[in-house]
Amino acid sequence: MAAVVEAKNITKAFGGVKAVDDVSVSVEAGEILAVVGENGAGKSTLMRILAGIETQDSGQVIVSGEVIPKSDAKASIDAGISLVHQELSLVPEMTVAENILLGSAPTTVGITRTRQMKQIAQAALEEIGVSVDLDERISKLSVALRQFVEIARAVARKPKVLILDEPTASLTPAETDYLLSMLQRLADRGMSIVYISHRIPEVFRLCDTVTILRDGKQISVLDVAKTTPQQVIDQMVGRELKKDLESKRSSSPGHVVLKAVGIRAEGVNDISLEVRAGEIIGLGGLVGAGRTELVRAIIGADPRKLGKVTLTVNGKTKVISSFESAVKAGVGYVPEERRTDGLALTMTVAENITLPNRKELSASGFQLARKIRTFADDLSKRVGLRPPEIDREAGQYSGGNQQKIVIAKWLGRRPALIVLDEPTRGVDVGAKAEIHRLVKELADNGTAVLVVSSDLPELLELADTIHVVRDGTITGTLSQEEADEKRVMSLAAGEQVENA
Amino acid sequence: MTETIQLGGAKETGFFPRLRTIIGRRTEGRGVILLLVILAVLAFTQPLVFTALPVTIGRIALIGIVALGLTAVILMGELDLSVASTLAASGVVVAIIPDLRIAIPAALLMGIVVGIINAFFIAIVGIASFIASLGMLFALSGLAFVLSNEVPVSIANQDAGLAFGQPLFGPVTPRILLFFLVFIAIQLFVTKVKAGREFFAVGGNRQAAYDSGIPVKRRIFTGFIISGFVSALAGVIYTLELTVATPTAGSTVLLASFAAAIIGGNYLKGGRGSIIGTLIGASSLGVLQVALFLSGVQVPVQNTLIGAILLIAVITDPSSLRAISARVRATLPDRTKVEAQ
Amino acid sequence: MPSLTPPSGGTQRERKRGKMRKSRLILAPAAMLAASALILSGCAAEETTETTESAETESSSDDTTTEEAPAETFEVYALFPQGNDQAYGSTLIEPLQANGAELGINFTLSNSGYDATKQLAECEIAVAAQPDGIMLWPAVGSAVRPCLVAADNAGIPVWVINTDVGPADAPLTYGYSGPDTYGQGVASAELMCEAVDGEEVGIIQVNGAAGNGTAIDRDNGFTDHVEANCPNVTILAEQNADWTPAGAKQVAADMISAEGIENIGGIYAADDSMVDGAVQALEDLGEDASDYFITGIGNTKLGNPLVKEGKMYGTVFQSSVWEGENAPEYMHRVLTGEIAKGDRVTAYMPSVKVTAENADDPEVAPEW
Repeated sequence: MAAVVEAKNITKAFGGVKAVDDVSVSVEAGEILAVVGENGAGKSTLMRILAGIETQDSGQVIVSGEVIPKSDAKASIDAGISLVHQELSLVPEMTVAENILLGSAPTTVGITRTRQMKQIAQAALEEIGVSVDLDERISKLSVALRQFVEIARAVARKPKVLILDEPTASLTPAETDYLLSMLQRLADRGMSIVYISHRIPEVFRLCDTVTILRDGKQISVLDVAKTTPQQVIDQMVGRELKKDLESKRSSSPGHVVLKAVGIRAEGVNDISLEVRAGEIIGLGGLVGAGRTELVRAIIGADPRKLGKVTLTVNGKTKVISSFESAVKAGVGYVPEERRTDGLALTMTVAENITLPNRKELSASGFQLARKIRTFADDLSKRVGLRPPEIDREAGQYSGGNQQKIVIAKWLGRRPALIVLDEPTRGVDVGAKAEIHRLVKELADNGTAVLVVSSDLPELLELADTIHVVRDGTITGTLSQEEADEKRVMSLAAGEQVENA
Repeated sequence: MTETIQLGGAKETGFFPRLRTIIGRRTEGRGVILLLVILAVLAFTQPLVFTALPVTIGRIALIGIVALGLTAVILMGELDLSVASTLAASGVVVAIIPDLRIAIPAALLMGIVVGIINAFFIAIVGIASFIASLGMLFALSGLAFVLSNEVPVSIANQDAGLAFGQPLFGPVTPRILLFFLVFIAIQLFVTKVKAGREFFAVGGNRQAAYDSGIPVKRRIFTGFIISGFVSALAGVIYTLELTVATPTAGSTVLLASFAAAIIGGNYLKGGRGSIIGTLIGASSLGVLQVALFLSGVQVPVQNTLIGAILLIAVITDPSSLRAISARVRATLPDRTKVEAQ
Repeated sequence: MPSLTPPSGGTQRERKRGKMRKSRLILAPAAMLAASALILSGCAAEETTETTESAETESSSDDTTTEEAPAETFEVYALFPQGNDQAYGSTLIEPLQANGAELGINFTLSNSGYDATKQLAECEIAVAAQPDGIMLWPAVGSAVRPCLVAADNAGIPVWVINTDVGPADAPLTYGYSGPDTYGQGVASAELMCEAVDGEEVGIIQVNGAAGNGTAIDRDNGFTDHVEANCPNVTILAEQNADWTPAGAKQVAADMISAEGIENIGGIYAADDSMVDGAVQALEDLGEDASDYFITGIGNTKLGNPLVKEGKMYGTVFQSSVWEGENAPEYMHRVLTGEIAKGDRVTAYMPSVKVTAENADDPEVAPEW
């Protein structure tokens, strides 16, 4: 069978670093090709070249035998390549219909034909089986729905090949499930699909072929039916990844550090919990269950309606009423949106790491440059930042490394309590393992840890105790021994836990 | 298709729910409330505003026309600070060319050229629009002084100018007529024409616009040309009505036009807003200014009031409101009670 | 096929926020705007009561002295390009309102900030309000025709102050009272010629704001007189400044460095504030201002001490009080028919020269 889309010997360098190095991929009609690799392996760059958004240094993109001109988004779309972006690329204040037909709305002498536009949009939504008001503005939609609108847009262009870049990053398991079966249906009708994901199980459920990239180079192309997840991961990482799933910590929690009683806030309905020194408490549940709201209310980052939070450090108990008082009392917080909340992307690594540690590193208001450098240097090595160049801007690092910088920032303060919200979302396998190691190390050194995660294996690996949150209340608490994926999921989804 | 997923709210079907959804989608809410409050207060305190309606509308047109062109640029998340000096320079051009049949097209052409130069620096060279148009502001106000030899220039055909200030029919002067034509043209452009609708995409999510194959640079050119052209048109109107071109013309226009756009709900970072909003903003400002003038309120007090309204317009933006309320609550002493301890 | 229990309408957080947003969107701005509207009406009310109150007190004091209340009251819109935001305007407005109240004239003041178009718009509103008269201080002297035509069509008399209109526009007005701006330039030139006393001297000239009518008239008056009467004074360079000391200091320093300090013997600035700036420019170079022939116009609170200190040879008194007191007098004569249309009265304020000899006289005590 002939390839529908073929990328031949694509090379692209950014400032001397080869992001994509002589990579060739091809996909046949109805085939689902997975492209996997660690963050920074060049997957997204390759896809942006295919979609004509990025200009390759050399190589060609061929659709049905014809070479597509370089960096011409319009030409690529017309040729039948449609990209669903990783960073959502919808226009917030335009309607669903307008977004689906962005740049390709039907017109008569330049004037948009609204009715026809809506018909096309409706058809595309029906094709992917999603129902939504066409006149609603994107800014009013949930993240999951935006993702589906994005896919509808790609589908509306009647593409020969549909490229999806991490489409499930912000979806709940149920939504992910739906998405995967929907893609399968599209492929069954002859559409080619290129699927980029960190989530290896999804790749194995959906894809026919998997292309593995590492450091911009193509490592191998494997038939999914004839390989194993471990093999794929090993090739992605390029080293045997230690399976530390079994290396459970022997936790011996100390005194109660965090005590939250009767917390009520937006999306949180009367929750009480405690975290002890050296203990890792996990908050499981579906996206939107109220976990982020809960931790933010606890640490005072968002207003609470009711409830009292105290933090006990060195025998002294302090009431936490605002985020400022929380930080002063010794709370570290690694937020969900690290890009917007956790890091100053234009500041250097050193500046970011020392941000919450200003007082210790300055004398009568003046910052001590050398002290700052050794401090930042030490921390960036401890978290395994690669490369550990503390003078580089944080924004130049990949997602996993950015997350390490955020953790390093709080590590330096030796916090009494650290709150981590989705600490490894969008982070590659290698960095994930290192972040897990860091979190455990923190707990071993006596820090109380509160971690929110939608990644079940992560939760099971890290947490000593898991509280499952649904609709703003805790629906169940599982010890490390009791917890397994099935129990957490059924509590999260609202089903009874059957006795094992 | 056997299976669908219902993720968002379904389309409302009843009349009132439907109406509520439609209103909920508009961005002009604050402008409308402001206008209604002003009109309600004035109905009691300054009924003259209504009896002198033609004058009031003329005032709105004066503030609004530049704001309309400016809105096209603001929708794309760009700024055009050169509008006022474009107005001054094109006004001088009208006055120094004796034959109005040549002078007016020349002035309008100048506006288009100004737009093209602005857009060139912003879209092609890649300078921030604030800086590019600031440069243009100085360049053009310098040009206005040079062309006018630093003194007010009277137009050769004084009678044509005076006639231009007279109503065409009813209370409608050419200024008011042109204002409404410009309003309708830009309104249709950004709501019905594909290129105009795409201004929202360029402002709301520029990367998405690029990725969808929208010619972003061409849109930026279009926007600045609209802004330049409309400013030049305003310059022509100003000069003809005054019968004199002053190189300092429009000194109060820049801030007033931005104020009208902001009060009308246009988001300065782009992607959100409407031409109708600007019309409402200009109306609020115009009516307010007429009323304050008639009350003899001192200009500094007027400016303070307009500044306060601007601030209110900005802080009542839903996202700003949320941030403010969270911050206020965070700074207040901890009043949380423990219910069950 | 997967079974689904999808959350509807976004995450819970978003839904709740949505609700809250709606209620706030309506309540908060409404409350704030209502408050601002109250301020607005409050201001308006305060303003009107203030003027009527002052009118009452004035007229009652009038009663005690002359036993005669104004026979008639008049509404006059005063279209000014400045107001209490500037020293001249505020010292003019005070006697204007006081004298107006005595004569039964209630002034509604506007301030166009020297924007001719804004003044035209204000003029249109004023005409629509149909007052008994309009007092016009042109923002731009040559840009008053449409306003005058509109007032003329509505039968509203216009009295001009401060900056006279051109000869073509003059028939549409009832007259002018205020400084003789050209004459002031001449007077300052006379002072310069007197100071130089026949010596061959090069001077630099700092004019007022570019395009401003007063600046142009004073420039012409000064230049014309110097050219005709003292050819020994050479104007080496001239530039416009914005009437402020800072602006004048800048352009004076520029001209000094361009021409060379050794070639410069004197400075004329169109306003005392700008003289002050030019003096600073000299002093920055380590020069003693009293070694230079310097003249200005205004005899302001800034300029008068310079004359006393000997830094400025002389200046020309422009009395804001004279202007403020006389304007209502003439307006009243127009309103009572004493000055008829076509009479066209021109009343110039005397251009009194102030030098070290008379700088302490009470008649020339600086007012602004």
